[in-house]
Amino acid sequence: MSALISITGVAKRYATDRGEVVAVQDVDLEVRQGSFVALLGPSGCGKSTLLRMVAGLDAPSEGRILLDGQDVVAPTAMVGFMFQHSLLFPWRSVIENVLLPVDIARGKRAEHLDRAHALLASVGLEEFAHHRPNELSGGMQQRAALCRALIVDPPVLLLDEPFGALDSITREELNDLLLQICHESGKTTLLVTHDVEEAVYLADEVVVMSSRPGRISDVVGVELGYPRDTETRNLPEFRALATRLRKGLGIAHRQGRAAR
Amino acid sequence: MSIDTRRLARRATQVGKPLALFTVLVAIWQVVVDKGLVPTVALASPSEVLDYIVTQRAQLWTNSQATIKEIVLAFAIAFVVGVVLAILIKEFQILHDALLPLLVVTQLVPSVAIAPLLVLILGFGDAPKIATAAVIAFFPILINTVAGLDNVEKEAIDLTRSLRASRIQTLRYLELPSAIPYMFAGTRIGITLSVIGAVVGEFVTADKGLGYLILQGSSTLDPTLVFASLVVLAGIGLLLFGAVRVVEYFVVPWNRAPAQRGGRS
Ligand SMILES: Nc1ncnc2c1ncn2[C@@H]1O[C@H](COP(=O)(O)OP(=O)(O)OP(=O)(O)O)[C@@H](O)[C@H]1O
Ligand SMILES: [Mg+2]
Repeated sequence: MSALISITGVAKRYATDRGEVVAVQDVDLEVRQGSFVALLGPSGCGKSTLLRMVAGLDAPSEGRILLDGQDVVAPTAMVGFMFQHSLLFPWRSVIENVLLPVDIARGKRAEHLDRAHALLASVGLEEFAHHRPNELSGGMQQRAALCRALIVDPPVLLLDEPFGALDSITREELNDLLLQICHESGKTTLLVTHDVEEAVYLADEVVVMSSRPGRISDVVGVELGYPRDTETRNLPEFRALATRLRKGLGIAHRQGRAAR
Repeated sequence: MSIDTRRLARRATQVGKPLALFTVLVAIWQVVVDKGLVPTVALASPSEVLDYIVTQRAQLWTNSQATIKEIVLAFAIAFVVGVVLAILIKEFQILHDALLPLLVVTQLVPSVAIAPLLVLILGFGDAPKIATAAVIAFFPILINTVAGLDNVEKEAIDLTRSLRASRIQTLRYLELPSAIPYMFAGTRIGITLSVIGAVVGEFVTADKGLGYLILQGSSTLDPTLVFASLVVLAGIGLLLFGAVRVVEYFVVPWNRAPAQRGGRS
């Protein structure tokens, strides 16, 4: 299996009023086709920055990012992006929100309507297709946003803490949903999170980042196999991995403080 | 259903209190005039005004039509110019940097003072009155629409960027819809200013219209005519304002009062 996403020697610096901020530095990362990689790290370590560069929303200051062998210079049709906030448009119904990517790609709504309904059904929102987003709970809104990211069936999913604002019950529910969708459709997924359990539960590889400057401090394979369910969380391997990652993060924290 | 009736009831008390105060004030006004506490040349009693409105309704109606026509045309022009300019200012940074400051500075000139100038330029027909009202009304529509177009969440822009939306698509699918509530805020001010502008225009040059009647009443020492015209004018203003609210209710269903609880997230 070849790398679908390939990041080499990437750095990102921002010019600010108080001089230059190094958001990420020396990042090398390969994401294999069909794999699920979690980016785990403390707040401000550059996870979003990295993800946005892969999505083509920001340009790296240094290094290269390849997506399926092509330099990323702008957002591509290969990527579905999901943010922490659902960003559903309040003037569109739920199903119209799901169809937004189709409208923007100048596709025919009619041709995607069945898929949109099927996606909404798969996340348990079929009854809410014609509701307005503000009639939905936070978790339901994120489900709709997930459908929107999937409607044009992009091979790559980039998820920036999509469940970060949700309660833990809803989050676990959506974790199962995401896992199922990613595996059924063979997506390549890069997920940003600062929840250790979420990272271990979802990913087959966890990339740990440390802050100031943000860089990769550890890459941990998760050999738990799929499918996973609630029982998985109780496995000794799961607990051991989570503990190891927690320690890794703790050390990353301290290094971060010392470097300042 | 029950929620709707409750809202209606709340609306009713909202309207009820000012209405009660209004009634009291009108009653005081009536008593003051009846008891001759004020020289009658300055004040007409409410009953006299009402009587005048009923008996002179034909004259008032003809003049109202002239004024309404000016208001509506001026408002339409102000709305179109305001929104189109706002979009251009949003889309072209050079206009934002060069034109917008100039427009803001022109607002330092009291807009009513340009009415005589517009008469000089446009002659004595309806045009100078419509132009005066439009010039006064367009600015709040423009400024509010610009604010609305600018007030889009950065992340929402990132979303449309990640979907590879063109500039026009971003405008159409994101910026314009999210600016609509702002547009209406500007429109509510704009419609009121259109009324003011039309009357100011009629003060400067007119042979018909409610503003003209008010001037007539003033110069012929006829307070009843002045008050009757004012009452009709106020009614027209209220009706137009209400019409804007009704249109807003149907065009911006996501921004109705009870929905604001949820907000966007
Ligand atoms: N547009 C910007 N201008 C200046 N500095 C920025 C900008 N965006 C990010 N940064 C800086 O880059 C660093 C990394 O930010 P980033 O948002 O990638 O962190 P993160 O890991 O996603 O954090 P969180 O978990 O809180 O979302 C931070 O120190 C931040 O201040
Ligand atoms: Mg982030």
